[in-house]
Amino acid sequence: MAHAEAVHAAPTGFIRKYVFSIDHKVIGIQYLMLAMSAVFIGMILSAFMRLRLAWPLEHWPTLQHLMPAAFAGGPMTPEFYLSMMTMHGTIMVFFVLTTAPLSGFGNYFLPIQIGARDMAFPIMNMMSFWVTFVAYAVMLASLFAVGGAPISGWTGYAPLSALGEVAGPGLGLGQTLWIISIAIFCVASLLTALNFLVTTLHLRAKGMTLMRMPLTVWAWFTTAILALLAFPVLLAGGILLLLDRLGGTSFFIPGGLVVSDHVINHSGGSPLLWQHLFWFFGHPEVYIAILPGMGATSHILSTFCRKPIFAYKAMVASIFAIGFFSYLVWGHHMFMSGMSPYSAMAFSITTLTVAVPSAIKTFNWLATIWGGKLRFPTPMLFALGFVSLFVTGGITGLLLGQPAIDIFLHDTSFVVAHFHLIMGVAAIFGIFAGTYYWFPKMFGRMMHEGMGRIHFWFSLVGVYAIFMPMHFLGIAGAPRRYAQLTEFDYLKHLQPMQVFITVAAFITIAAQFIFVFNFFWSIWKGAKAGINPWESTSLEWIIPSPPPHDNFGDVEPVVHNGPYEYSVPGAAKDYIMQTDPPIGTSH
Amino acid sequence: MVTTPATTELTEPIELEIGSGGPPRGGNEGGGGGEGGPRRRALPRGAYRLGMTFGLASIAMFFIGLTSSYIVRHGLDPDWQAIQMPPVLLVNTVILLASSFALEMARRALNASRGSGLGQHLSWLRITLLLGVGFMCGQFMAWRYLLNYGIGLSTSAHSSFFYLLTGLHGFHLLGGIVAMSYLTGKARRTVAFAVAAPGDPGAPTYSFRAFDVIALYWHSMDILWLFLMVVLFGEIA
Repeated sequence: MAHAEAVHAAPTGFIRKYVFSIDHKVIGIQYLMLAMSAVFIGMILSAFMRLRLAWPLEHWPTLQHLMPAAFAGGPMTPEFYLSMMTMHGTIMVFFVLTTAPLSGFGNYFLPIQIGARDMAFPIMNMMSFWVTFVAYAVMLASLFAVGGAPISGWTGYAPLSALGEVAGPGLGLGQTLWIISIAIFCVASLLTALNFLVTTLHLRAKGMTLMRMPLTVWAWFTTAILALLAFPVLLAGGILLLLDRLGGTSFFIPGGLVVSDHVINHSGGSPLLWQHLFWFFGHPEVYIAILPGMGATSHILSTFCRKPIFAYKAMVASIFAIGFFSYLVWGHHMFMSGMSPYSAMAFSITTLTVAVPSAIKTFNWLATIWGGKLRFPTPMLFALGFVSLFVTGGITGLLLGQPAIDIFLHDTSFVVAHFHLIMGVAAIFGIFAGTYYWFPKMFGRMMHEGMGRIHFWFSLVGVYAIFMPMHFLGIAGAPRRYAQLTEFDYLKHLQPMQVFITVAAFITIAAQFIFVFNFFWSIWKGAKAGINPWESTSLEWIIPSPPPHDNFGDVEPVVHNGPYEYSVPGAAKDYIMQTDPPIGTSH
Repeated sequence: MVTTPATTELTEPIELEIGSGGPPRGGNEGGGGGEGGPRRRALPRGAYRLGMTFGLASIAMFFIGLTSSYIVRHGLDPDWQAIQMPPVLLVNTVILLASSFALEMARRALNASRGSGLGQHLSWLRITLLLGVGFMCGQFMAWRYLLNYGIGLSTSAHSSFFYLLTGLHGFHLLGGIVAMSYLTGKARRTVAFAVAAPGDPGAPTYSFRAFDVIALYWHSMDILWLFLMVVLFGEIA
């Protein structure tokens, strides 16, 4: 009986090949390109933020000339700062951290790593990208909307986000477009998640049992489950918010509000309800951002330590445990919201519990490195950087997860430092590691090593320079989401630290252009890559670089080995491909 | 009327074409539009059903989010005033249940016909579709009934949830109706889809995949409707 396979004829013509393609590889690259454009927009927005924080009352004539409304009266307006903050967070979290690791690399490499020729539902895959694209376009429209971009934060807390134009600039059309964009994004994510799950469960090649799948696949699989079940709740909240704004309902708007001298004609709603709905999505969302990076790190560390990943089964179990517990911790974002301290205690316990599987993974990475024959190409550097940043970012999570400490640290720069280290850097390093690692496979050429190293060191030192001092600012009591801290006596002495962070940020941002240049230059001018330049064992490394349309050509891959058979005693080479004859049989 | 096929063991999925020529086109199948001849994909049986199950899990989470919001909002309001159920909704519920029944009759006809009895299942599918459309008409009647009394989206918290939940359910059912129309249309051209289980001595089992997943979706919308009726009017809180 013909083995289950997803086969479609090779497309012809530019549009079918590169625009409306149903090939998972093209779709993966499309997502990566979308994420790359989004990350640069997000970085520019953060540059504006840092400019304001370091020199709040400074005049910037050139910028004022370009954006008169944002710099009305000379310095950057606080409202503009808040809109930058909102859009920076939104664009980065949704259009970079949710797209690149999962939809970008996952789309490209999940089918190949399990030995399939495409995703289970290629047309739906194409739709999921283009729906994401529409969401992105609407979000950019919100950035440039009449009245400005919304100022309510990426978390869009009600009632500020629910009241409309009366509550402030950007909260009219800008906020509405923002909500619509997020809603569209939710639908796209559902389609992606469906595809990943069915593909992993049904399209594995012969011999590719679940416990022979690379950890990248396990990570994408679990992340897809999280996306499947979390995004609908955000969609529900978004619809309720939209109705509050446009339909006169009062889901989130309490009574008795007078805003900007207007009496608000809503009553009975609960702003806390929005927080619950948002964070029930929001916490799984941040694990959606980090889990693929963890999978990639495991995969890359194993390759470049020439050692099997330590405790593969524990790694799989930890991925599931992290995914499962991520649904039980959302209240730790709400310790100071006024909810019951007993709930806070419960959420604190679950939050500290989720640190356990994360710690297991971290120790397993260290155990993988210990005693390995290390090689240090750029992907390895970024994987090691991921481990470092995951530890520093994660540890402060343990502090914030305790309500007593959070009383002092909530809504300070300490929180900003925490989530940037874990999301804004560790997850990004995961993306970089994946990019440098898989670039040869995707494009048939190697990225430039020298540029890669410069990029790595500038980024690593740079992000530590940016975010380590930020912890101290937070402990000193510097609030987040404030456009200016120089007016507070107790923080005046720390203003030089703000300037330091800003300068570090500008240098780090500049270093990212090295990466972009390297990326595009290498596509055309990089050294040609062979089939398996890293001597890695998973299935993508048995096919040509770049892969043909149907991935495996005429050969139906048959898997005999696990994914991390490195340095097997008695073997001829220090790695055994998954499709090689089983270990222990003579060649 | 059951005809047993001759003892041919079917080892490849086949799709019998009646009427139109050309390869069959599926929703998510046939990727490249049939270039190079009728190359068909063969996802394992159950892959489409699994996909639909995951999709339904997502939709379930969506309505669970909304229901939780309802429960919270209800609990917060000391002056909660529930609207009375428009009587037409009882009729609508019966219509929807009947449509699920008709769908199951279609499934039986499909299984019994074994690829030879044309159109018996088709009539039942058409009845399902008709009842579904009838349900939507009934929903519009319910909304108009309430609007006539001046009860709109923003009148009260309960009315907000009523319009929201019934509206979203109707939106999802509309998707089901579109799918059902596709099924009744395609069914005119295609009869059945016979796949023999390996090792099966000759009785082919039928997996009319599109039918399978659309039926799953339809029944889920039915169950969702019952759930919403209980939440909105069941006075459980």
